[in-house]
Amino acid sequence: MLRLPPFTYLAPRTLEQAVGQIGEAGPEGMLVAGGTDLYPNMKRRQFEPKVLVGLRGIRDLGRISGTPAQGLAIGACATLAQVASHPAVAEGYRALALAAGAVSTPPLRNMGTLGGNLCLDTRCNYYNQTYHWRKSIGFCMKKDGDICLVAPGSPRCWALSSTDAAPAAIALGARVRLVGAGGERVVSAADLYRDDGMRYLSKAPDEILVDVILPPADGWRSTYWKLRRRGSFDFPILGVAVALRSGPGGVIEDARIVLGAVASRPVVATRAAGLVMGQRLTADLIGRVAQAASEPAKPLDNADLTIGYRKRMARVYVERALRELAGLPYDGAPGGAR
Amino acid sequence: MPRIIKQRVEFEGRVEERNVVIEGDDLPVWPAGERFQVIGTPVTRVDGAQRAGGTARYTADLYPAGVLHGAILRSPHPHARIRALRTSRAEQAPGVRLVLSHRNTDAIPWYNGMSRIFDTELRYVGDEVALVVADDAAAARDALDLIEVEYEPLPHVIDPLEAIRPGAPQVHPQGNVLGGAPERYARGDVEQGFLAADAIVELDVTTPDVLHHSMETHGSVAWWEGDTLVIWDSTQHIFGVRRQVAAALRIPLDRVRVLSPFMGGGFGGKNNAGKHTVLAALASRRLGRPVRIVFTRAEESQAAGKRPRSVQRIRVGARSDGTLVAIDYWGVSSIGAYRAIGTPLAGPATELYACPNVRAETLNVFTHTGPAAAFRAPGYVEGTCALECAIEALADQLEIDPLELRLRNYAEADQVLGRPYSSKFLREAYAMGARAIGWERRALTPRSPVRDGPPRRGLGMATQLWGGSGSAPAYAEVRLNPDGTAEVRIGTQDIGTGTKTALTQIAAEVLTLPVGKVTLSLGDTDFPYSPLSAGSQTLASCGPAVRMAADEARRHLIDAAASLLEVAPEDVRLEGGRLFVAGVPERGLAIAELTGQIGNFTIAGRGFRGPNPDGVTIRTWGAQFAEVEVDPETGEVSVLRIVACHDVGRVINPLQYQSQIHGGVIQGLGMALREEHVTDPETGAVLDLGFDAYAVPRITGIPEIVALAVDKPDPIANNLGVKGVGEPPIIPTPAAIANAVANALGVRVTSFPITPAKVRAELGRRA
Amino acid sequence: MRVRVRVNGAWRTAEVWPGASLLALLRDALGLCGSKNACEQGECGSCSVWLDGELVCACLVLAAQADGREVRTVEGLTTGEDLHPVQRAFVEAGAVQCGFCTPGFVVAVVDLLSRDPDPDEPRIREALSGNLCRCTGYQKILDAVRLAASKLGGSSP
Repeated sequence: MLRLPPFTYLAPRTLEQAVGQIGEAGPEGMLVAGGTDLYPNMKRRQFEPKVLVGLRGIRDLGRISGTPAQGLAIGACATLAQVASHPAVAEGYRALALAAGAVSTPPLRNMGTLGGNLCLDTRCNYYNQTYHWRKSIGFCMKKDGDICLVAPGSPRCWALSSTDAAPAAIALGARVRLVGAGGERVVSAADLYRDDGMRYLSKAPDEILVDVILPPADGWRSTYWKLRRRGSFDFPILGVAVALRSGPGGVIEDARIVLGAVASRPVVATRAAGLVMGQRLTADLIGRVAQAASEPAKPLDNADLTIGYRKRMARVYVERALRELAGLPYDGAPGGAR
Repeated sequence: MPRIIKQRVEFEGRVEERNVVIEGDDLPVWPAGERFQVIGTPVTRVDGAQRAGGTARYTADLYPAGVLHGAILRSPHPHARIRALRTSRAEQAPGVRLVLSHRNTDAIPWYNGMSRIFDTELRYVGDEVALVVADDAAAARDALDLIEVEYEPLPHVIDPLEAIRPGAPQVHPQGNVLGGAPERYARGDVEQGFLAADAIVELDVTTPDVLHHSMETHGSVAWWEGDTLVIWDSTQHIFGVRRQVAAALRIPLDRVRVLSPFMGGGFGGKNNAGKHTVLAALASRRLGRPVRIVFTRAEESQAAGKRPRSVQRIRVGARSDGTLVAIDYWGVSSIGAYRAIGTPLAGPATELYACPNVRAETLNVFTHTGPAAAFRAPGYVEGTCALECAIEALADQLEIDPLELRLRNYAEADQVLGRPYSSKFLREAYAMGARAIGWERRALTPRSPVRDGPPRRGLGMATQLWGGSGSAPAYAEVRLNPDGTAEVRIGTQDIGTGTKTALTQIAAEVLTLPVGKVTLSLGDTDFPYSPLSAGSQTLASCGPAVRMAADEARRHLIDAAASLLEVAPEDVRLEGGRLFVAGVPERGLAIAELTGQIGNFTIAGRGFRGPNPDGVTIRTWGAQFAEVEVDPETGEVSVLRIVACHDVGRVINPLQYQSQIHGGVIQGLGMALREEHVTDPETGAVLDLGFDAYAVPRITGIPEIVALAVDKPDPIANNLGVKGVGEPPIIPTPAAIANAVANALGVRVTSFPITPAKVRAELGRRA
Repeated sequence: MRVRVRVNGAWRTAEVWPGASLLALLRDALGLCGSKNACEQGECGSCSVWLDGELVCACLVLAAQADGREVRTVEGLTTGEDLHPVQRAFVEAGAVQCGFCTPGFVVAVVDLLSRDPDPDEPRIREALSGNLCRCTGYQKILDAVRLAASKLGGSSP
């Protein structure tokens, strides 16, 4: 059997209780919602919390409220299955519905939550291994060791951001509400992330991600494309979220392009998005935008397939995503389908 | 009269001499055109309700009263010596009952004497160091961390090509090449042959380490009943486990009973007793309680065997009309730290095509990696990747249709052993498969690489050659009860293929009973001996024995009926469960009426597997055709359709035949496109420890598979005219897919798996 | 710790340690071995069960999380000797080989057909993408789902 390390499991019924319990647990404590990422990681002893504070018992955290016209608030404990199939999400925030629906497999989407996926641990071939395996290679700095095995001279950890939901949320201009002992704050989804494989969230460990606030969807169209080895289950090798707001005559008034799984945080392709502002999408422009969007993608040799391939695919996937939104013919399919 | 005969038997690509006991004369072969009631019909699994209902008990489901749980400490080093090992902290941990290591365990020889059950020299990451037995599995796992081991790391070698260089670290004192030298084969004069060639193709082909990943992991549960050891084992060979365990524990065979009534898949990975099997028995003996050791998925990835990676080079030469004039083959199989037999990589290259000049050299190379195991057609899957890709490349070069090229080089006889085939209906398989896929649609392979643009389709094919004759010995017993039900006992095992159902059909056919009236029991060494369920031999070995046992019971039945009906036995007919006088159907009675009249005892029959015919080679044949769509921009390969048509003799159960084809094709597809077991060359650590990193195919990417059968009985192979279908379907799939990709894009990826990145790299390389 | 779970309609209690999974509770403590343990990482679907009506992998649910809740396992689908129509469809279609993955598939298919009585093929594939099978090549599993859907006549199982 694979064994979870020993811990105490707490099941608060209110947010206040949860904030108190996670604060009290201090560095020994961790939050858990669906557990689909945390428990496998704990079995590999990437985490050995003494206290787990389970959030699924807090009813308010599972709510989805609002409309695309007014904006939507999605509780962090809404399951990925709920997010993927919710009519308001599908209507106004398609990128997020596609991203949530492309995570893992149906039973794990029934268990896993939006908040959990946004806070998903970063991944690396040298890290997502059993304790004994990591011990045999001398551990890496993300857990129990001192060096980065991907880039041994590097002072930092290069584990990959592997959340599907985050690029979509950022492209949609989402903000997240965090509640901790010190009160409540709202930050943009982009600002939730740090470019560091170890401390990849700006959220304090005792802050609880409570909900995801999506702005009014008026005029926006969005999509999410995921590259993975098989048509299900796998973490992204690349995620591309694109959101466009067009004005009269198809002129693009606002655009966001966000890449996932190419760095320790989601990468916002600002320069590429700037190229489409005030323009109409043509095949030629899309080609140039895709090229620009792939430039900030700097994958390292710590995931499936080669670096060069993943970088090239960033261009191809951005191009296909833009062609889809532009109504031009495209190959492949949005979401995680194959 | 029982007699011992010497048999030349093909098993898993190798020919061996074997003494077998034959108890009498075999039955004549059921000829082509024989009319059956049950054989050849799609009978559903006789144990389907248990398997689908969740009530079937597999070894992993066994928790006997008082059971203790074992966990194995494994080497973190690819090569190291144990300097010191201290177990006292582990022994004192809560719940721990026993720690076994080399310090307190007999030096039981293992891996053909290359090592022992606990060796002090460790040769791969995962090699067994110690066993902890505790009250529960968690306590056993926890205690592993309390065992203190001082390792002296030693130089290691992971890559087989490095391992054969002078000065490479030695895996075994005898050197890194199994047997000390390459295996060589030659006929004719290859150099002269190439001089006569108008076209020559040379390919470098590599195939990856591939894991079996049976859904049920390896596991054994052992306990003692008095002085008898009872072992439940997830195994492909209960009698093999019995012999190995009896030898290891130095106890008589009649004191060991091995059971495996339900088994969750093997694919060649469970051909032998594992160390865990013997350790469970040893621990149970010391503790006087049942001991259960079941692998985690990570252990299954690390230490449960693999199809070893291959590095191959093949050169084929032909005249402009496509006639092959020379084949030169060189292959390396990276067999890991321990393996007793080599991988028959050169089988396809030396035998599949008529060619006067053939040379082959195969090296089986030890490395400091997990031991290789047989995996569904070992060697032949890899070897077919090389040969069949080369043949199709040659066809493209000569601008001859690849199927036509194959037909022009059709081998009518076994050129390696210089004797005829018992039967070969490969032409029929080619024709049926080509028609079903629409082979005439195949466009010429583009002369220059297709680097961009919309997805493109391609067609490719490959041929399958394999054994699967089965052989003696195998025995069976049949009993007819007074109520007209029948019981069959046979010490084989159903590893998921449907053996139980197919054998039940054979008994039901002979006794003219409905399948529901026949209960077949297997998976128990208390039943008559049967061989290893591997080498596609189970049905062809056990089936004829079951037929003969049922036939003997049937003869007794007829004799009894004859005396009751007051006619000669020759005049009694048995049809539809009714015995009657020939030509006078109303003078008769049902089986149950007869058995009811003769009292409360059973009519018994025994049967054995007769010898294979002398002087012929028995082979299975087949052809597969693949249609793919490749996205040149992403390198993504989608397999749209596979047509598989195989000649495996008479088909006993078409439903199960199709199931075997489907499963083999999808394992082949996995190897073609995604599956790769990766060992880090620096640390020797395995990078994929589960279904996350190791990409077993999922239902999302599965093509349509058309499973066709030639379905002609072999006229002489055995009394049923059957051959095995377990392994054949995986053999040609990777090559057929690779050929289809080449046909789509005009570039050929010969490094398996054909990942999108490799496709893109190949397109880029030729730019 | 002591957990009380309603399993297939009957309340059961067991003593488990806080890190025990629901799968361990079902198999080791309650003797319900129909849910198989094949990866313990949520990667294969062999331990699929329902927790309060939601399809989940029992290996990634803590027994503690299931306390006071309703669990339905593959054993709960069979009434006496009678298989559930989905189970019968698996046998009839030849979708059962070694059978180790079958209970998990059966549960996932019952779940699918209860939500969508007449699923098209992409939907079937998506719904079963969490379940691994190493024997069948999935063809006959697809057949079994279609057969089961027709057996159930579009009515909810």
